[in-house]
Amino acid sequence: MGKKIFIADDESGFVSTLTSRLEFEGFEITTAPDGKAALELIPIEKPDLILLDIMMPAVNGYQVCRELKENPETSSIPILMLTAKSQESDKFWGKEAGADAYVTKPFDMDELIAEMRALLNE
Amino acid sequence: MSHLPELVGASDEFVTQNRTYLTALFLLIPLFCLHVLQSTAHSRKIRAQLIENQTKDDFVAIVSHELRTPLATISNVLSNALAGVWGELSVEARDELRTGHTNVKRLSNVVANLLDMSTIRAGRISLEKLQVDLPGLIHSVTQSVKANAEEKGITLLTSHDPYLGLVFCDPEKIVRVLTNLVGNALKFTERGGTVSIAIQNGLDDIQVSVSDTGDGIAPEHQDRIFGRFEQVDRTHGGGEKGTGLGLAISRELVELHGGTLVVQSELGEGSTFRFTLPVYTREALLEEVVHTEFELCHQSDYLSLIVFVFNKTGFKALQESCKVEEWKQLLAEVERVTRQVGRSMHDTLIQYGDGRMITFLRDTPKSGATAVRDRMVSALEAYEEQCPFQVATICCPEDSATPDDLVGDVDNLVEELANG
Repeated sequence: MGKKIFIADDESGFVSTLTSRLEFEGFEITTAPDGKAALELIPIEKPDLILLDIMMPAVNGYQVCRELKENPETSSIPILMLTAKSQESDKFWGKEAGADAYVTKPFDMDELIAEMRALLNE
Repeated sequence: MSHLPELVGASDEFVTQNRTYLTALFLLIPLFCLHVLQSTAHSRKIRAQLIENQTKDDFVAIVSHELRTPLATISNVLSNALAGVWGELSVEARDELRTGHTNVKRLSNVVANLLDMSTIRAGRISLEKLQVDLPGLIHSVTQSVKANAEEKGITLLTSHDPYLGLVFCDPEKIVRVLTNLVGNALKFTERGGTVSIAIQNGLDDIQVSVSDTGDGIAPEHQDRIFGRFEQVDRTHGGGEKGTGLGLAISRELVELHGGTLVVQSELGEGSTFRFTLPVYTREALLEEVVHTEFELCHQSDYLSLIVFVFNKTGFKALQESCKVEEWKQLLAEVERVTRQVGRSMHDTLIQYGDGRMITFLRDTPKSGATAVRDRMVSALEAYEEQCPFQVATICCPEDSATPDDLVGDVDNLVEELANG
């Protein structure tokens, strides 16, 4: 049974391509199209790692990250912010919100997988 | 009304007595009005500038999001196909897809460089400086290009002074500079050539040079290559075409650190790109870190420092009795243990390289710092045998009223503990 990865991102095309590759690599994937759905599903799904977009409808990635890190049930799940935002201040606020790692789009898929495996202690 | 002549008289007398002051005042009023008018014009100009900057920032944000996500999706599709997600590919299909993937990477690089240049020019880039093991950073860069160098039959050499201490810089930015310089060197070096990266330890600065055995750059092109979108005719070693922004960005990033980036080259003799990073005195390092940490305190005005100091005589004896790598290893271990028992692995920590180390705890009052110090003392107990040490806390505003006071007080405390 592969590690459970949760992807929260509103770009369905992007999520679909990422899911294909991660499933091919042996991960088990669950997705949410916005921050609100992510906050509802993550405490139930209890994934091993969360890939989180920042600019999402309803609740943005920073808020999702902060709430998950404040919730004792989800605080230990590593969060990798996967986003098109690349300004210095964006990275700063991502880390302030409690993100464990920050990768900007577009990225090298092999590097992303290596970063994910490091967060999963594989 | 009967008082009027009296008042007028008094007024005349006042004028006579204070003629000099009044003349000065009447001269100053128009000057003041002019100043106000100029200030208004100036503030209008500033406002216009701010609006212009905001527009630029919005542009950067829009371009950033709107181009990056579709590019990421295209890149994923090509990468998935090449990884075999949808089954085996014919050799031809693989070649075509690889060309597509390389070009998407190139386009991503162009977008990233354009955004970087725009961010730098808008003054919105900031440095996150840490004490960095520069040879380690160079090693990670050479590892990432090793396969490319081997494929092209180019030898990669690195060298540095073993006594080189930690360098205070933004590692992410310096990796970008190094990646760019080493990438260029590989690109312009023929098969069988050599690319050497060397660090020299100067008095005022650290010099990092990246040399290649390529064809060199003509003197008339040596200034132009640092311009934006400039690509001069250098004999290619078969690499892909760049964006013409890499060297301009690298120079800006080095200059942000207070260093310089220059080139020395002769046609037929290869090129050496050399950049410098300033050497920080202990005082300058402490002062900069204290002020940066204060700026980063969000929830309160408390900043606590935990000062770890090996006994001066003891540490000197240790340095004399073992190899440089051994005592450097000891300092690295003490830092690792300190970080483990500290509040967060991301807390800022500075090493003086002579057995003195300071950990910064933002938004932490003395009580919190004391608890961390106690944990630290018990976790480091095992090292006491190798060399006696002392650990103390100092807090602002409880022990030192202002950040400037804190800088002076820490210096005194460190000295006291090292001799104690």
